[in-house]
Amino acid sequence: MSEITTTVWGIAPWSSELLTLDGDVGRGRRDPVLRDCLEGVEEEQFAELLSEQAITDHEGSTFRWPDYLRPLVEVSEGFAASVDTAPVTRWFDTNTFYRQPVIQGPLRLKDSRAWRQLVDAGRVTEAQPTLLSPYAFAELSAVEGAVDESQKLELVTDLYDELLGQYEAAGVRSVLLYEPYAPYVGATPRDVSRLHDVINRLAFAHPNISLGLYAGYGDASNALAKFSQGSFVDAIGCDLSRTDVSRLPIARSQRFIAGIVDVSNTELEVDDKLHDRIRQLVARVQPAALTLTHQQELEHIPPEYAVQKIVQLGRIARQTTKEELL
Amino acid sequence: MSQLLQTQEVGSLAKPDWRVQPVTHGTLTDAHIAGAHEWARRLDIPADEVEHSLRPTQQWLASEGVLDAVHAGVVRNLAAQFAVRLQEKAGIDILFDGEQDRPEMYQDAIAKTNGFAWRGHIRAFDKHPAKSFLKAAVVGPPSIKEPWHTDETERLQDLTSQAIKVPITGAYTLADWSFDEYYQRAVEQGGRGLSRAAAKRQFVYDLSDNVVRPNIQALLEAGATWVQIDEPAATTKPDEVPLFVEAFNRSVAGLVGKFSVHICFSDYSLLFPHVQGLEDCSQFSLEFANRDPRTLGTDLTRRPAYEVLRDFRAYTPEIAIGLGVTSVHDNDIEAPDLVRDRVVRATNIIGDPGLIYPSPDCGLRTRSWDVAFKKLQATAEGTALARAELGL
Repeated sequence: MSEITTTVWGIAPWSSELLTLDGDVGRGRRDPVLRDCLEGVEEEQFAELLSEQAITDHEGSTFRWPDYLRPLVEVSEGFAASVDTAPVTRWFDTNTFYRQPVIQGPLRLKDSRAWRQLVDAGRVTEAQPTLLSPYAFAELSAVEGAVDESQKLELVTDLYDELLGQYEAAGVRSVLLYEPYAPYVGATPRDVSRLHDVINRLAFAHPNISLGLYAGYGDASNALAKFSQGSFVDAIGCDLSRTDVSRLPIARSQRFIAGIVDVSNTELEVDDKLHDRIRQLVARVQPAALTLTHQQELEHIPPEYAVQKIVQLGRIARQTTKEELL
Repeated sequence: MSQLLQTQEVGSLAKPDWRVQPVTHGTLTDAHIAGAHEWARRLDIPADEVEHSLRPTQQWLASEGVLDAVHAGVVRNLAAQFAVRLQEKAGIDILFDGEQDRPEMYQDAIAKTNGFAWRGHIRAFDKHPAKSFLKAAVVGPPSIKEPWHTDETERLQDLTSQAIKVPITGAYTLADWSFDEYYQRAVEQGGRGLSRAAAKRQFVYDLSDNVVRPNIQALLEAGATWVQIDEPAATTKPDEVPLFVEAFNRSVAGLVGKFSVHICFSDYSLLFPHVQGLEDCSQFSLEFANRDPRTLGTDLTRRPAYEVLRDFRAYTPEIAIGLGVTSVHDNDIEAPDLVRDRVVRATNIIGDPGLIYPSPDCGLRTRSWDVAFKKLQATAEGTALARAELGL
């Protein structure tokens, strides 16, 4: 194993103050400038925390996102025009929701600078943007008009191809694709093949971007099964608390992104338990490199607890040595 | 109450500014009171009632700056009266008071329950404005701090002569939406020898037996005859749907009344076959309009959202359906013709119009009163058209 790193990905939690302020702005009771200011402060504080904890790879994009779908819909053509009247849909097993994208035709970015609305342009080379995997995006979308269900994965993948092209040109070096759908529903072998094919296609088409695939919301062993030998994907990973580690593929040529810190609860698990998870994983998967991370999205716990979890992640990473794992 | 296709509300309505501002900002302006008068005129509520309730409150706030319990109660009571009259005026048959006393379905229940500690807000939906909810952790054995809704129920019986249905948050959802710093800690420490799944089960059992059931019993003693248990989390963890069924059964075990369950924004196919185990459930109140196209028609291609009703008919043919026919997450008012087609489609699938209760998809608390009123009107008018279409 060459190295041990850490990553924090996805949408970060907002403070109660920011949520209240955003609500008041939406109702016309407060000045939007105040909201933007507080949002900027919290984003900066979050970045400082990651730096203090020596988190090697981090987001740099989605702090301001309302969910994992809407921002991409808003910079693209081919979706139903009014996002605000689209069906409200539950985000897996949580009490959070998103508006379901409705695909009406070929999908493309509205302009050549669409990427600037999805990544913090000031941190582009150090950021690791998280995107919902194109497979999950397609499965969570509806179709309308001339488009039928069989076309949507290809249409979404074409859109991602264009976006990754923009990222690549802008200097983004690493992108994490997040796949919660296949593990949650228990993907069939056919679905796993479709997932593999589209991710592999994107990885092959964008060799200058290190592409990772992280699977959550269920046992990911099936979903990841085809991503080891002969895959163009640089890194694979999953929530280890929900995955049967003994069924994960051997991945000697890849980095493994190990979801070890539980962010579904406010309690901190004992460090020894997390070290055990890492040892079991490495013994089974034998990855070329190891990245430690949190198991699920951080946005489902209040920020003060997210801080504790990130501190624990940093601590575990510092305590884990290559020698210990060999 | 004799006609078929009774319409019903689902629970919450927004709180008007004159209900919110005295609580949150200690203010009640003339503009707020003028807004109350405007709605009083629309709802045929005498202007005197607004003046007698809000002017003394305004004067109190001007001198004291903070709302006291007496004036808070006066404002709540007036808001409940308005909410009831709004539903009556819209033509809804089965009512509640718009949950004018409750901040939110989870927060209100937890605030009146021992064994929990607040942990912070979680963003739930959207941005500008972001919707959020205050989340707690269970830190000890749950028990009732005070009865949740008996005051509301007693007041409501004085406010309307129409049928009422009292919503109450269910045990499974309360457990699922809470952090766990008590039951799982026992797991970690090996104190009880529980697995994580067993810890969740014990948490749900304790809430059912020691919190929700005693509250329902108190509601029945206060005069409620129909209690709706709200369980929006019922299907979110597919392997725990049987636990939701157990929670419902334990919550109503041995009690005499009419009980129903509201589940929304969920994959209903996951309920089967488990819901065959519900022992005293008279109605599933469900959201459909959110996921149904707006084109007119009563065939499958026009009304796809209602197809899952075939499963309800197959597995639980004796349980009625609270049929979501108006969406609660947009401001577009459904045409009565569209509501008619949704009701006709559902009736054709279920077969018995006596088992269909048209309603909004969920509580209308995220809509303005103007939008909520129009959506409730559309629900009632469209249902009347459906009765005519079906020859009822």
